[in-house]
Amino acid sequence: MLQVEHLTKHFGQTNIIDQLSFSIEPGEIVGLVGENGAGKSTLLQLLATISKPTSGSIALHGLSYQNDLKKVRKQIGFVPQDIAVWDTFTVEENMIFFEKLAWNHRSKEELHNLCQDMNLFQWKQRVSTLSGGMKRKLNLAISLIHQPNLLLLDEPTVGIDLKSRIEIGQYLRRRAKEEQTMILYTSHDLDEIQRLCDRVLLIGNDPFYRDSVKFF
Amino acid sequence: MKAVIITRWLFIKRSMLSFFFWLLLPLVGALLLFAFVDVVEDDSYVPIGVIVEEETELANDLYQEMETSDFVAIRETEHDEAIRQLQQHELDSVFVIHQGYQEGIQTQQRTNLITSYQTNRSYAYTAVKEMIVSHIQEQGGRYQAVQVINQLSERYRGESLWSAEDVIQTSKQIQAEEQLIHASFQYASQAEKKDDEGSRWEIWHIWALLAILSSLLTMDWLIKEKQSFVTQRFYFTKLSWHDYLLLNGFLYFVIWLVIDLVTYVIFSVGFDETMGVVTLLSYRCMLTLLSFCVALVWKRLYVFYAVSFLMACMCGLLLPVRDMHVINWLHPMAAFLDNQITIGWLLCSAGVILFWYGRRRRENAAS
Repeated sequence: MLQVEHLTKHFGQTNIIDQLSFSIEPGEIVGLVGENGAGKSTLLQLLATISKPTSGSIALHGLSYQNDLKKVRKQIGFVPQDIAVWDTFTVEENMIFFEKLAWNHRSKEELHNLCQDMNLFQWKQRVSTLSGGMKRKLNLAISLIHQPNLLLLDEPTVGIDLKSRIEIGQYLRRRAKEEQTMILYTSHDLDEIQRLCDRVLLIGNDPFYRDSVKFF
Repeated sequence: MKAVIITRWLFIKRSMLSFFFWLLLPLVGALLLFAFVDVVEDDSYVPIGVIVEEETELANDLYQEMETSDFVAIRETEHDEAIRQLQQHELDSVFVIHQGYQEGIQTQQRTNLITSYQTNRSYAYTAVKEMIVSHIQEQGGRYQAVQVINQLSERYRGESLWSAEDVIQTSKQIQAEEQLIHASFQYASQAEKKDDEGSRWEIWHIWALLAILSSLLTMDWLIKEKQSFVTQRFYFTKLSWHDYLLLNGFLYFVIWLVIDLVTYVIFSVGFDETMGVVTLLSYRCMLTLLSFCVALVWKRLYVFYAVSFLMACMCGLLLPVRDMHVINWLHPMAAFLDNQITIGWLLCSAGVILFWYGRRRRENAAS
């Protein structure tokens, strides 16, 4: 379980996140919505340990972010908004590269299966020749190599076709259910959030988002 | 380290040609340039024909003196053949050491000892003639000294008689010991520099210069990889980003070192150009750390390439004037070329990297 209490983040005089508290249960997919600049990416960076909060506490399965940083990081999978893969490598080489640097060992077959589960079949194909959707799937697959309990996705489907979106969504639902992975998902597409998420977390004060997420 | 080797191999196998090109550039480049300099030097000798008509000690002495000259290539030949070659401009000029040369020197009869031939294209004739005249004067002067000493000995009824051999031998000894023409000065605290140090272009000079360029350019992987979005992923890997970079830097150091040791063996065995192994090791260490630092500083690849070429050019241009104290102190190649351990640049580069590493670790721990 992810437990966030009174989380606050300031950048100088600007208050980005103020006294935010929430929790995510294992197997739950939570959508994170809010207008641009509301602090979605900042919150994801705090939860991903990339950035440090001004105050408040975060705990993952009882492990404190402040005191057990290394153990916490082993349980986090972060899917950045940018496609963070080696463009000159093939899909296979990318998976092998990050498996070698991962904490746990995964066989080549397991890596291959991971890609196939996401309908990413271009195993030997160079990334630079893949479509946007395939690149996004690889971006997600790499983040799952070390089998994280908490998966943080920063607009993972931006700019890709509907089929790939649906495939990624289906995979995430399956993963949450089968592996009891906690998923926090940001997107500007409220239809996608509605289709995919169990719950929504609204940050910021934009009335548009307040009205739009009433269906939850 | 195994993970670093495997992941680095994934990059290297994609650019094998350029990787080996830059890796082998110092060795292959130095061998090629050295061979080229040798050929050019051979071609730059002026061919001079010499006909020795008598086999005496003084005639041979003159012949050997001409042979030791740095700018002429002596060809001993027959008179008619020498004239034919001169007419065809295969020889720059021809000198005939006539029968009776030794007797003429000994009796101070210095006319018609040598006949010379030149053409309108003989540009080295005057220089060679001056060299021969100078040597004849030197030889003649010694025999004149023999005569004067004997005359003085007879006039003043000296008890000891000096033989011609004794006088000549003593004269040569004094000339060798006193360095009558050449004199050098240095500060009291400064060690005397030997004549053969510093100014010669040896194979290690060429290698050291090319090694700077290749070390810098091979380190471009760091710029390329730090520009990538992939860096974000290193928060969630067993190696942090800075550990990954450092270990890769170390891997390159090991690869370079292997090539350097091969170079060391080739240069030592093939060219008899020795260099201390520790000197080589310290230089390679410094080059790795320095190129790592430069790659850390710059963000744009083309700026990094420009800086790399500029640094290599500056090092090359400043080499001929590295005898100047300040330049010698600042030049990254100076210690290596003097066969000494590179310390200054090594410590500076290591200091910068330690500072960078410490700061990044603190940032990472704080995030």
